[in-house]
Amino acid sequence: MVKLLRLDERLIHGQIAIKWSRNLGVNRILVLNDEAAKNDLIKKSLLMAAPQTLKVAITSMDEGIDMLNDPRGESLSILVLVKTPQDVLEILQRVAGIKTVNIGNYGRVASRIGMDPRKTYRSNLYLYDSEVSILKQILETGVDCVYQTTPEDKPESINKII
Amino acid sequence: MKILVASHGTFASGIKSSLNILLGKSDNVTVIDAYLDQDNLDEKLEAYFQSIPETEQVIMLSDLYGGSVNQNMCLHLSRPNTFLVAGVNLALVLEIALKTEPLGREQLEAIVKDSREALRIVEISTKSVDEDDFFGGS
Repeated sequence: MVKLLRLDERLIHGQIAIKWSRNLGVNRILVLNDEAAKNDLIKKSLLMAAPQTLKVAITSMDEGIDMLNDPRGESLSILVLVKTPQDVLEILQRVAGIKTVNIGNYGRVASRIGMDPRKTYRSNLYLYDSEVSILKQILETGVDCVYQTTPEDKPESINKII
Repeated sequence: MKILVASHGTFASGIKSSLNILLGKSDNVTVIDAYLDQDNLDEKLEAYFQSIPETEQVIMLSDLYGGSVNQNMCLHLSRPNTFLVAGVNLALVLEIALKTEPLGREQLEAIVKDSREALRIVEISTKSVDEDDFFGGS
């Protein structure tokens, strides 16, 4: 079962290892990212950041989506991490039963389109208009979508932010 | 339980800045950046301890074993329920800051040992689990 689907362009890092994985009480982390899946060095650096106490898989979008649709996952508690709004939308379209999307960090690391900076929405959320429209499509799926960087932060509905 | 981090210069407030990013907040962590102005470190330490209830546990963290900041903090070890760890690193403060209950000597020893593990030459050797392994076990 997917406990939480999180958009975080740093994927696995300090906030995930220290706060979210403990706070959610998950026993698996699944990272879906095509670039990380085929680059061994990125993969290993992400695994280094992961807590030693739970199992972590780093897969391509296609492989990861197959795993999320695998009935064996129903008894597990999985934190799913992706790097872009587009990947969040694709997962929601191809995997049933995800109730909550968490937006943690986005827009500092993601590559820019030309020289234009993204518009600032929150201290850890920067978006182009094209990305705002993807977030709107995410909301249209009916999922509960909130901005919350760490578990201590008060969750804010994305609906009100964009 | 309260944490007091003190350093030569702004290392201590830098740690606080990192904690705020990683933890979202760090209300129980107080920092002292020593020797940046004419303010006296002894007086700052004194004022800190005056502000803390006598029964509250305080864990002091200093930047350098044998340094003058550490020496000044040492003088407060006679206070009950007070510990001092020298050579602070971020892993150490994080682990302690995540605890809500007072720590015993043995617990603190264990946290110090784990934080020492975080100081290391990085070897890239970890493995991602494959699909069968991901679904297996608990």
